[in-house]
Amino acid sequence: MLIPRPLRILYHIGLLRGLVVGIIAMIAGMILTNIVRAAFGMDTMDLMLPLKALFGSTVWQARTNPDTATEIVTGMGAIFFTLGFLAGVGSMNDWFAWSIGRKGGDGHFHPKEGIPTWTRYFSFDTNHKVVGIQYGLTSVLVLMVGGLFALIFRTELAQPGLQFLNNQQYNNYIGIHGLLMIAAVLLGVGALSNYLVPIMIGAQDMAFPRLNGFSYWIGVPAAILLLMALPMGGFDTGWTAYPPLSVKAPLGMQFVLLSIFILGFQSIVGSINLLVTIFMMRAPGMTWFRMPIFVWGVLAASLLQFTATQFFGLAFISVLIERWVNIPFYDPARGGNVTLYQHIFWFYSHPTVYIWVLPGLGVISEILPVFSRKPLFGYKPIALSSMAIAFMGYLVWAHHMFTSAMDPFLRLPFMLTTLTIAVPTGIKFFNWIGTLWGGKIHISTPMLFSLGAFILFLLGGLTGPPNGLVVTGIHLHDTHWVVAHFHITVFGGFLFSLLSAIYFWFPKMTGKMFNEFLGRVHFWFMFGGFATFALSLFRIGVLGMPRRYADYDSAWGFGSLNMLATIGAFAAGGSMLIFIFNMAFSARYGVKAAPNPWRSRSLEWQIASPVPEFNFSAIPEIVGHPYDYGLPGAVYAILSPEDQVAPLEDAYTPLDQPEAVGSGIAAVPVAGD
Amino acid sequence: MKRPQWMGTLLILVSFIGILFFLTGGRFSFARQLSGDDASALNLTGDKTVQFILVTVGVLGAMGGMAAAIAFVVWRLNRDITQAQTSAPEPTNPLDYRIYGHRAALVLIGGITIVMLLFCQAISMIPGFGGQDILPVAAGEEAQAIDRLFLVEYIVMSVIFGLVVGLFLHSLLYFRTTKDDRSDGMFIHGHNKLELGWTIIPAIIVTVLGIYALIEFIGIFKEEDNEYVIKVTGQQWAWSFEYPDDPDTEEADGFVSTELVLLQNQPIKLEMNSLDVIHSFWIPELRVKQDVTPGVETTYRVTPTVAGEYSVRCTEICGLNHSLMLADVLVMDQSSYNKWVEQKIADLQDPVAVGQTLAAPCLTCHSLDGSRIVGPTWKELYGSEVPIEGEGSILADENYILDSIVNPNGQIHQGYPAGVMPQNYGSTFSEVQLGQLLAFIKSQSEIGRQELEAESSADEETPEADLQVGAVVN
Repeated sequence: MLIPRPLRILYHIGLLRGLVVGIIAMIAGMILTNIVRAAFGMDTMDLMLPLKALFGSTVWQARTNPDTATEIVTGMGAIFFTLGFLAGVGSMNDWFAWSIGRKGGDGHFHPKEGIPTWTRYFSFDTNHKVVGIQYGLTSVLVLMVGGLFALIFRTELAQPGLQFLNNQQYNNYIGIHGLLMIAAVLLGVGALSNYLVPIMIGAQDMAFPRLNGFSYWIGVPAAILLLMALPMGGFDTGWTAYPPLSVKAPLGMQFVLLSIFILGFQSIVGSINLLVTIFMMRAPGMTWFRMPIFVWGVLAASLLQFTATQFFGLAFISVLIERWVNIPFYDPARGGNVTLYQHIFWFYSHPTVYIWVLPGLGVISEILPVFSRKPLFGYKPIALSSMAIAFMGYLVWAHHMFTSAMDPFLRLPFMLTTLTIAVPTGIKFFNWIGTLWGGKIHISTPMLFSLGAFILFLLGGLTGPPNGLVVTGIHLHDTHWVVAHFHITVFGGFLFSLLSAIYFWFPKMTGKMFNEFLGRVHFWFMFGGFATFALSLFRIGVLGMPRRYADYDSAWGFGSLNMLATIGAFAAGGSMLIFIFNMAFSARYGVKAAPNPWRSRSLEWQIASPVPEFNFSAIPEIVGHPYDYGLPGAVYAILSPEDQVAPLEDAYTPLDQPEAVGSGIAAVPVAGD
Repeated sequence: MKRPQWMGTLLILVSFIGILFFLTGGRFSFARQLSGDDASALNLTGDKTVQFILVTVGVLGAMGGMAAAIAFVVWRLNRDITQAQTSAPEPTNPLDYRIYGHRAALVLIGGITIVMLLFCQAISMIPGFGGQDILPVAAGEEAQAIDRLFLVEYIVMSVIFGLVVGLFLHSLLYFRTTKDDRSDGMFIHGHNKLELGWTIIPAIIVTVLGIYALIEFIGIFKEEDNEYVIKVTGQQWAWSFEYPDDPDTEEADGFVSTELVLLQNQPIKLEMNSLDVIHSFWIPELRVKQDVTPGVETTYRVTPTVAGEYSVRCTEICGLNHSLMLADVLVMDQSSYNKWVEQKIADLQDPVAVGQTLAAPCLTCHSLDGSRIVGPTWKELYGSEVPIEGEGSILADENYILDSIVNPNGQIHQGYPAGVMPQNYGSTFSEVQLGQLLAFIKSQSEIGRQELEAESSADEETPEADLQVGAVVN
């Protein structure tokens, strides 16, 4: 080889290739757009402007109303960057080949000589487990960045008066925090569903592996564009981007609109893939009601993602069109309608909450039976309640608009539909208690997080009806009460479930065991910190602290509670560092984990850890129910002996002599306390 | 299997969570609800010593009651669980309470609920803790109706929270096992009647709540006969309130105010419009909130009943200075209200006073005391030399100031970024209003005040002399 090895390795990191090609494409796109504009006699943009802005010149900040040329040229640059990135990373190689009539690759991973295998995690890959881990790492990264912004403005709010942020920075940070967190949660859903669904249903991969890799990589340029919004002038609209404010907002707004529009492709493409996989690729014998409950959650969430995301894209792209070519969708003086945006926007953005929460609740339903050593209580009601929540999620969007300019009496039907969602949600809670009741409960880190999720999601659920009942809702709307309500719901419904899932499946992903003690420390800091934060916000919200206020009058008396909330936020945020240390350290130096340390009956725990490249050498046959803990002699699946690594009996048979099982399980921290 | 000390800790911890939760749950003070007294529970009159004793006794009593409830629950649970565990036979009947500790669970559920309900009493009486009741003062008829619903919601939430968390905790405490125990739990995978029960009962609860809220809603937003209509205008980042002409008098006596002054017990209707982006009009003490949207007139009905000083807070993000978009609200009795109206009508003759009203949106960014907020201060601005970005300096005369209002990006004051100030003031202010605004800006500097005096004396001689005087001085 003529090329030195380090350079070859760099070349095989798809991420770097994508960035280089993306930046070249961006510059080319901007020059091209400028040329086209000049050819039509329109004004052009000074191409040095972004560089000046990036290197701290104040010129850009001042341009709160950029000229159309700057906006369109940078916007086209962003689009070219995305396309260039996707091409450079290699996510469309096979499609290009097919489109010109050549035979593409086989889509499988082939290790190259001299190139370490870790590079596949930073390159285009079609294996669903690699894609799942890519999603997961990106999710945690974006989560940390978004959380950092939250801590910055949370510190600003700790005392009345502006200490170190100004209004503009504050507005930028709340908006970017919201959007980054949404991106992180969607990526987290992608991580869980991509990694787990094929193994859980006994498939060797997703239905469309290339599409799967593509759907991950389209999220990366979207995240980069989202972060670009800040140096490009920021945006002062919050994450909801309501026009007319978003039409007048600074240039950063455009990057937000484009980024989220692109991220929508990820959701749609990913959900199509999951739907087809779940419908078509279940192992023989796996009827609908023998599916693991997590897969039901993913199914319901994917249906929502597949059918609702378009509305979000529509809302954002219409604002972009108004900014670019001045079609007055949202200018009432020229026939536009401001409230229309909110209808379209919330028609997605309410269901999206269930896109996050349903897989999360699926994780809780998955983990409780394992650690209670008892069947999941009410499998069918739990499965069907997910579908009911998904369906009803469509009928409630206008409860986000109780104070908007729509007809006041339209609030009533939406109040009633909103309240009915309490019923399927309640079903889940009572069935979870039924699962715990009479079990043999072991409490270790994954279970702790699931139990914490239970409490937080319960608090989130119970604080819902005061919002949903119009009469009290109009007092609480757009206050810190609502901020606390959705944070506690997403923490309980998704974040704690995600952490629970990461701890639970960490031995499966890495073959190593994490440190139990650090896991517990993480839990208590996270739970205590977050509860302090959320409950303080509930109180100041009811007392009259509006949302998105950079500052508040000290006479309102919110100082001490805001301080308390900030302390809680730091405890919760800081505990994530413990988590990351624990995960990184254990993945490298952890104790080797047994194949089935939690004694789970689920398919993925019967095979080796880490999971082999194609999961199963032969497709397993499903002959029973997945949660028959405590039923002697029950069999869930018949795997080929080659795949069956964990001893079958151990998963569900009450054992009199644990030492008798010679698989090393007794030596592993089994569901310990 | 026994972990009594563990259990106590966990219980107290979760009670603490429940307590914090119900810090926020709704209207706490039952005493106040029952007595119908709408002022704060702390609003004790008379001797300070008596006040102190009353508050101390109240707080200690409620706290003591709470502690007693917790202690009772811990004691009962320890006893029941120990008893059940020591005497538990091999499970034969799944519903045997000695196996599952049903009685202990009931104690737990009841205990958690009672702890919560009692805690509300304590928290609403502690002066240091926010110094107020869990909701702000209910200053209007609507607020009282809304607070009734808050109370109902709060009780329902306490009971459901107590039930779910009680069962949850009981399971964790009672069914937790050691790590050496590798046996499985009972093979119970569902119970159809239970499923039916916990589907139907919550459905009934939410339906009843929904119907109750529906009835309250219709009552709150119904039209009154003698509504007094005030026009509200929201713009980045200020509110203004336009009071109508009095139909009983001949002359035009409608006026604009930057503070919302309301007559006690008078039903009012606010007709609200926005000049630029969406704002939201909220007075926490009146509970009601309504967006102010460009292109659509929204209405806001309320009957204030308690005199006092409150504030309007914008609750829909509206750009840079969203958190400064506040306005004072004064609810007054008849005599103070009449005095205020007379003063406002008298002010109509004075351009500086009118200008001050018009300047409300400006004052979120331009200070009057020389400090820097967002834009340059107005103190001693008129008549001074202003440094201009890239063009040396310019005298801040009438032309410069008018031009800066109408076309803010034209001549940029050095050190202040361009593009921050809204560019639509040329269309939102009329020519006359711009003159009044200018008069107010003039009144903020020494040179301007002299000019205004000269004008007013000249005004008495020839009404047309305004501009000439200004021109001569410049």
